[in-house]
Amino acid sequence: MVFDSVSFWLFFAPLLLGWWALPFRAAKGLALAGSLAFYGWWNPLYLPLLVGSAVLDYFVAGRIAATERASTRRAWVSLSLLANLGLLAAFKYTPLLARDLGPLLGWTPREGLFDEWVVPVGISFYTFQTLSYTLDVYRRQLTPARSFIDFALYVAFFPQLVAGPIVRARSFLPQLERSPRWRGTRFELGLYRCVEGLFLKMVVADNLAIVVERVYDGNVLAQSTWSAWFGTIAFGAQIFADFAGYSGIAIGLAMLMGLRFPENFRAPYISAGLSEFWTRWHVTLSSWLRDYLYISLGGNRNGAARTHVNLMLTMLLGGLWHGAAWTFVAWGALHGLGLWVERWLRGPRAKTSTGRPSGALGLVRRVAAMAVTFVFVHITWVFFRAKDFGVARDVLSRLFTIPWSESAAGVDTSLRFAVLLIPIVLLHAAMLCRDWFGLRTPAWLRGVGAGLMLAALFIVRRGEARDFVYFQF
Amino acid sequence: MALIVAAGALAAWQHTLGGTVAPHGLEPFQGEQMIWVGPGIGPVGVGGDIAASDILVVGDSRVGHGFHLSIANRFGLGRFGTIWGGGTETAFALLPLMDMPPRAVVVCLSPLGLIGPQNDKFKTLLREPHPGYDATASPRAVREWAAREVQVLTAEGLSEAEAGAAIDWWVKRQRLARHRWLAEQRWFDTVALDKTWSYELDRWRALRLQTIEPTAWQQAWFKRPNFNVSSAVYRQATNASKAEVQRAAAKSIVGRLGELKARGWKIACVRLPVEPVLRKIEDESGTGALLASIPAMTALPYLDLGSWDGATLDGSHLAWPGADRATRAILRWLRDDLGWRH
Repeated sequence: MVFDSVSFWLFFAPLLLGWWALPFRAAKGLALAGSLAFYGWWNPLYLPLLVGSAVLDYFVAGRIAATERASTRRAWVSLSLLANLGLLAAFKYTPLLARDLGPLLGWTPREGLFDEWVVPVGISFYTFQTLSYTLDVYRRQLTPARSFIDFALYVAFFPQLVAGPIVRARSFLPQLERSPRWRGTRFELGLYRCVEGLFLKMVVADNLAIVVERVYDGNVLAQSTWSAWFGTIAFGAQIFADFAGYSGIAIGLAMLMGLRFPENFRAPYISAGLSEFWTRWHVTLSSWLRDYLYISLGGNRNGAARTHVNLMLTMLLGGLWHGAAWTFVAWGALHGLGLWVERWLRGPRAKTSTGRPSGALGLVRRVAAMAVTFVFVHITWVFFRAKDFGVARDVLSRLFTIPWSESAAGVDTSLRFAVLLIPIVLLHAAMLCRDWFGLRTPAWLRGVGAGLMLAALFIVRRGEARDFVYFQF
Repeated sequence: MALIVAAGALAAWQHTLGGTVAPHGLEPFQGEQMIWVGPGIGPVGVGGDIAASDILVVGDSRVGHGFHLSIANRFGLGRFGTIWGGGTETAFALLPLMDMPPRAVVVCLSPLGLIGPQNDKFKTLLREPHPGYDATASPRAVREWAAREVQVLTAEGLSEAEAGAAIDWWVKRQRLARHRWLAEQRWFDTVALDKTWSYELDRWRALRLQTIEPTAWQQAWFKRPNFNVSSAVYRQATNASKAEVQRAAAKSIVGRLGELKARGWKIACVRLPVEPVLRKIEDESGTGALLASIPAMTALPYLDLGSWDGATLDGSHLAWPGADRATRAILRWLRDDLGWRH
């Protein structure tokens, strides 16, 4: 089931009523049953995987907490890591490994062997959630859940189940200890987030996809340089609208149920550096990678060289998490390299201020840094979107053809589609006003915005219904 | 507050720019199946479950846009299915019926059904059943076929862009059909349910509101009805030089209808409505009379829905409100005048 389908809202309305009307224990049972139905709607065959993962980590965390012996605790946490990462690797990376590493070991898979390979929806997300729970218990930052129903609801809770945000047990489980209080303002805000998310997905992202597909799925060499840039910027906007839209709906649904989810996007394209970008883009993933991978590898505690290696490893694995293709690894590597350069330019201890720059010079520097970051991030998107290195090479060659040279002539994409970028610019401008001047969007303006977005949802047709981009990860 | 703003914005839209935008139509082929008809003819589109249907509706793309299966299936005349192809000759679209057990069929007659203006080069694409129309074909088979077919088409003289676009069309249709086929293999066809509900929501919206289609933004802000292209196509298709071909095609339809009738099929013929400008072209060329002669020669009931102003997307394909009206008109005629009962 997907948030932008009629089925979902027909499913959610009675569930929401039940959630508020039933005693809290029963309501949690209802939410769990609803979550399993939500997941099973796609394919019930993969439900045992989800339930099995929850049972294993519930049990393992209990065993870890029950002993003080370091070796036993280590053994249990290793089992959890092995099982969860093993499952993720088996489903997600088997085709890639078989195709690219198999021949090195003397086995070449027959053509088409993995054509029908299915990666269970959301496996990357729920695996990371259950892992974070076990690791937190292992690190003594969390006491194990007392009720399996609570834990299973944490793992399978439908708003975040298939594409995040990646919610931490330590922030979610305490919310299930007592019945949430109904607050009109939060409910209203939840509705707003749902409308905004649907607007971003159905009006903005799905229609920007028309421009993106012209460049990335068509013959890019027949496009003009201008079109290649437009298509690439449109992809940056599309993936933001798609994923921030999905996360926004998830956060909104949780709000409607009186629960809190962490923010996942904070206007990433106003970042004045890559380290800032990663505090604004897919925040729950980057903080997960920081806490459980980068810091576990030693973080920046073992000298500059080791820090650089850790950074690069984190970004490479972050790239691979997004998809089983070397283009994603290249995308991660470019971000890793970018972070190295940034550290070298700014010094290892420098912190990026997101506040208002002081003085004209400060403003110029900030805006220049924003522009450089924007361009760099968009160049790296080429590898993220291209289906292989051949397409990435063609797009890059088109992007960097001198615009006035003869070979740069080609088909232009209509500038009319740029109108779809306006909502994204406004969202970023609102965040900038908040960061720099402390201005928050007043309730009346949100009301007007929601009304206009609702009207647009009725008036503007979507190019072609598409799955949420992050479902594939 | 949001609801008031939304209602105001929608009302303002409807009374200003909304009135100048083309209404939107059914999305033919969305998740539908295709069946192979024959060498050089290619596949035709299928709506609904034709094997289990009580009444089939057959014709060219006017059927794909103009006949609402969801309305027909709830009308009480039984299960409906459609068989149609863009620019497909009606005699070809009738071919799949020849092997079916007798039931009822509504044949929608149209000038392009008398002479499909198919590009000869594309006949290469349609020479044999290919994975592009086969929902069960694996992605690898489609990939390999697409690569091969682009080479064949370019060798036939098409530019790489034209060949690529033609193949892309098939690949996209195949992906939709495959998606649907895979969904049907599951324990419960959730995709069909999602599709039905979103279709109903879309229909509800289309009957009340003019919508914007950003797919048209490559050419213009608002997709306005443009009858010039259709007029040119129909002028060419009904040109005096085509008279012989048209008569031969009509004869072929008459032959097939006669055969079906003899086998016990219940048959009715319909001419779907078009814009007055196209109707004039069709009638002045004599094609209208030729179409009317087909049911006359086979002694079959015939409903001519005439010309409807502002009901189409492009002159000949009905937009959603027009399709809604035309479907109901046909169904009432079948029930009230012809006495068709389930």
